[in-house]
Amino acid sequence: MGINYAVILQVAVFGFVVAILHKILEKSGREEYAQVLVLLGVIVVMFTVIRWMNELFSTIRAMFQF
Amino acid sequence: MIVLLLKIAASALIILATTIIGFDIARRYRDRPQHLRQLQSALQGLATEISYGATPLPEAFASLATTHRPPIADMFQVAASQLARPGTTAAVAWQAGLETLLKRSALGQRDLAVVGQLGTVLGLSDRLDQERHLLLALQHLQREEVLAEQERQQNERMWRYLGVLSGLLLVIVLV
Repeated sequence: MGINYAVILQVAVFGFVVAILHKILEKSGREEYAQVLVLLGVIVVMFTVIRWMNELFSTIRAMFQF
Repeated sequence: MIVLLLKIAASALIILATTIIGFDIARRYRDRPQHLRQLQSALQGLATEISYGATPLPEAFASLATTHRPPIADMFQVAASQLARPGTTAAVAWQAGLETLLKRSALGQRDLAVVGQLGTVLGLSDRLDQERHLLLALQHLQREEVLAEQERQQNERMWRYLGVLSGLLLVIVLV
């Protein structure tokens, strides 16, 4: 079973960039935009993760259906 | 292989586009205090021409157009050429100059409101009155410059980073 490192990397880089953007927006006095950005980032990552969780669950289900 | 190359090229294009947008917005913030300062020096020059030189307005505009740099010089150039036409009032010429300035510089309607009112005074009332109005406009521009400088410090760097990073974010989401 090959672990797909690309997705993990993608989420990691996404989080990194969002963190930098949050820092910049916060420093220039736009806290509300920073909050919205973080929320959007979490939602986007959530969707990516949900897609992979879905795959995991279907694999498990396939395993127990003889 | 070709798909990979296409992906890389498209990603580069997206990042390039958002970077350019970010830098363009940042440039507007950077140019505003500078243009305000140049406009101040031009108005000071105009005040000197009026109160000490008693120069006629067309000549004063023409000389200001040669001594200042583009966005401000364009304004006086346009105003001078408008004034050269027969039957144009100073107010009309001044307004035309201001409109070119509005288009070509980083200055907004708010900056130029007080300067626009000068058009009704220039060349009509006596020297002292004109000088007083110019002084008033200068004070307004000085206040705006301080505010513009604050805005620049807050926003210039932010927009640069925002452009690059939002492009990066978009690419990561799309890949």
